[in-house]
Amino acid sequence: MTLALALLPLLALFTILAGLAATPALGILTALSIVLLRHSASTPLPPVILFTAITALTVSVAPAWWLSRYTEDTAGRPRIASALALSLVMLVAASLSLPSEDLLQPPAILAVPFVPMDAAVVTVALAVTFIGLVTLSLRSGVRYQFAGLLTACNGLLLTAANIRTPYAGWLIGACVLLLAGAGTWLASRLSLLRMKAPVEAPVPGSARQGGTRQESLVPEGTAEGVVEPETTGPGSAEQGRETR
Amino acid sequence: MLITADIVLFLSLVWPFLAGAIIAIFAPDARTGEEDARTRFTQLAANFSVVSFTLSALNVPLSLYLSATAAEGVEFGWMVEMPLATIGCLLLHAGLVSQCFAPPQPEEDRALVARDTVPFWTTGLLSLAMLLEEPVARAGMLLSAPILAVILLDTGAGRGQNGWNTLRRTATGALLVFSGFLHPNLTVEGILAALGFCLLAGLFPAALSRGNPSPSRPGNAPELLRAATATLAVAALLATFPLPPPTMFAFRGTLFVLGLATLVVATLRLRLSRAGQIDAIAQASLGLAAIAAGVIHPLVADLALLGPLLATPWLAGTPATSAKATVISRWLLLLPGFCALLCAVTLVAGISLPLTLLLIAAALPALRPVSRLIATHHAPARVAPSRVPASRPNTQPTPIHSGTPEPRS
Repeated sequence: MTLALALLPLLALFTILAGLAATPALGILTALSIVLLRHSASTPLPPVILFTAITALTVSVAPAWWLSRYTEDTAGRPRIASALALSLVMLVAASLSLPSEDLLQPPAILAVPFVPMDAAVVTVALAVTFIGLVTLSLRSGVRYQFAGLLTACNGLLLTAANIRTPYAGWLIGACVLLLAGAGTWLASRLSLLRMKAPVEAPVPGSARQGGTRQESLVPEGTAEGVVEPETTGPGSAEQGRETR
Repeated sequence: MLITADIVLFLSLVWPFLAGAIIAIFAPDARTGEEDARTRFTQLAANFSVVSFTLSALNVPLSLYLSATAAEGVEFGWMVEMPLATIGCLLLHAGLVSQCFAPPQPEEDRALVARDTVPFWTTGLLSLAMLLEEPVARAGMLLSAPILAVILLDTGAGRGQNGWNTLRRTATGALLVFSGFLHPNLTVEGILAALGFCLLAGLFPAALSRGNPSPSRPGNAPELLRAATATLAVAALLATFPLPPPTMFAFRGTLFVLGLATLVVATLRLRLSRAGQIDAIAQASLGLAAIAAGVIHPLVADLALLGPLLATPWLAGTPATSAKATVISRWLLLLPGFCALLCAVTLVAGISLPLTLLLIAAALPALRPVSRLIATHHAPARVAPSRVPASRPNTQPTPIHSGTPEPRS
C-alpha cells in the first residue's frame, strides 16, 4: 500500500468541501497509484495501465480547467454535513466489503470472474467511488456534484486497473471518458448564467447544433435561471434542490 | 444455419444505426420543409422501424433453433445469442415501431431529426447491450444510450437540468454496476450490481424523486423508458446466468426487494394523486419486471415491460390521437401488466406465502384508479372531472385522456 493510495480517500473526502479545486490532485494521485500497481510484476507498464492512468489524469484535470471559467451561486443548502456523514459510513462499508485477504486465496478465487492484483486497492477504490457517488447525489450545486462524479470515475478507474484481465480497463476507461465529456458539457451549460468574464462569452457547443439551436439561442442567457422556474413549477427553481 | 443466423444477427444489429444515419442525412429541415415532405419523411422512419422489427423477429426462431441444437448460447465474436436476449431485442424494436407510428408530439423546438433519428440509435445501442457477452460491456452499453439521448435531445432551453439529473442517476447506476462486477467479494458483487441496475432503470431509490416532472417539456421521456426497459430485460437475463450462489442470491434478492418497493411507491402514487397516472402505471410495470427478474422468470419480466413500451407513445397527450387509439392503447398498457402480475403472484406463491401476500397488498391500491381509467373510456373524456370525489375539492381534475403529467399544486 503506497502513500498515494493511503491519501486517496482523504483527498476524496476533501472534494466534498472543495469541489472541483481538489479534483486535479486526486487525479494525479490516482494516476500515480495506477502506475505503481504492478511495480513488482514482470511487465510493470502494459498499455492498459498507461491508458487508465492517462484517462484518470485527463478526466480530472481537463473538466476542472474547462469549468474554472464558470461560476455558480449555490442557491440551495450546501448539505456538507449529511454528505460527510454518509461518506464516512460508506467508507466503513467499503472497507468491510472485503473481510480479509483470505478471500483471495486459491479455493475462493476460482469462483471470481475478475481477479484483482492487490487486495488493499479494492477497498480503497471502492471507498473513493462511494464517496464520489455520495457527493454526486447529496451535494447541491452542479459544480460540486460534477466533482463527485469525477471522484467516482477516478475510483472506478483504479478498480479497473487493478483487474488482471485487461479488457475491463479499456472498456471502463472509454465509458469514463464518455461520462466526463457529457458531464462537462452539461455542467458548463447549467452554470452558464453566472459566467465570470461575460466579455468572452463563448457559448460552448452553439455551433455544432446547427438548426436545432436557433430558437434556443435567443433565451440562452436566461435559459436555466429564468425560463425554467416559470415553466416547471416549484421545486426545480434551484439547481441543487432535487434529491434522488 | 449458423451462417444464416450470423448474417441476420449482424444485419439486425447494424440496421438501426444505418437507418438513423440515413434519416439524419436526408431529413428536411423542421421549419422550412413543407408539410408534404415532412409527412413523407415520417413515413420513411416508420418503414425503417418495420424493417428493423422484422430483422429482429427473424433472430428469434434462429436463436431458438441454434440453442436447441447447441444447448448453450451460441457465440459470435463478442456476442452471445440466446433466445431470451433475442426476445428482449424484439421487445425493444416493437417499442420503436410503436413510437414511429404514433402521432407526433407537438414539440415546436425540436427538429424532426432528433425525434426520428435518436430512437433508432438508442435502440441499436440497447440491442447491443442485450447481446454482448460480458456483463461489464452490457452495463457500458446501457449507460451509453441515455447519455446519447441526453446529448442529442436535451439541448433546448430549460432542458439542461433534466439532462443533468438523468446523467446523475444513470452515472450512479452504471458506476455501481461496474464496481459491483469488478468486486471480488461475491455477496457484495450481487448487491452492488442489482442496486446499480435498479438505479439505471430508475427504480426505487430514484423513483421517489419523480414527483415533479416538467409537464410542458416532455424531454426524452420515451428514451428514458426504453433505456429502463432494456436495463430490466438485461438484469432479468443476467439473473438466469450460472453465477456463484452467493452472488446469485444477493442479486435476485436485491432486485426483488427494490422492485417491490417501486411497486408500492407507484401504486400509492396512483392511488393518492390523479396526476401522472400513465407514468405511475409505467413505473409499476417496471417494478413488476424487477420482481419477475428477482424470481428468475425473464419472460414474465418481458411481458410486464411490454405494456408501457407499446402504449406510452400513444398516450402522450397529443391531440391527433383518435379516441379509439386511446382506448386500445390504454388496454394495451394495462393488460400485459395485469397478466404479468398474475404470473408473478403464482410464481412467488411457490416460494413463500408472506411474500405473496405482500405482493398482493402492494398491488391493491392501484385497483380502483386503474379500473376507473379503463371505465372512463366509454364516456367522452370530458365527463371525467365529474367522477372526482368531492372530498378533494382543491385538486384540479385533469382530463384523463391527456396522459402528460401535471404539476401538483
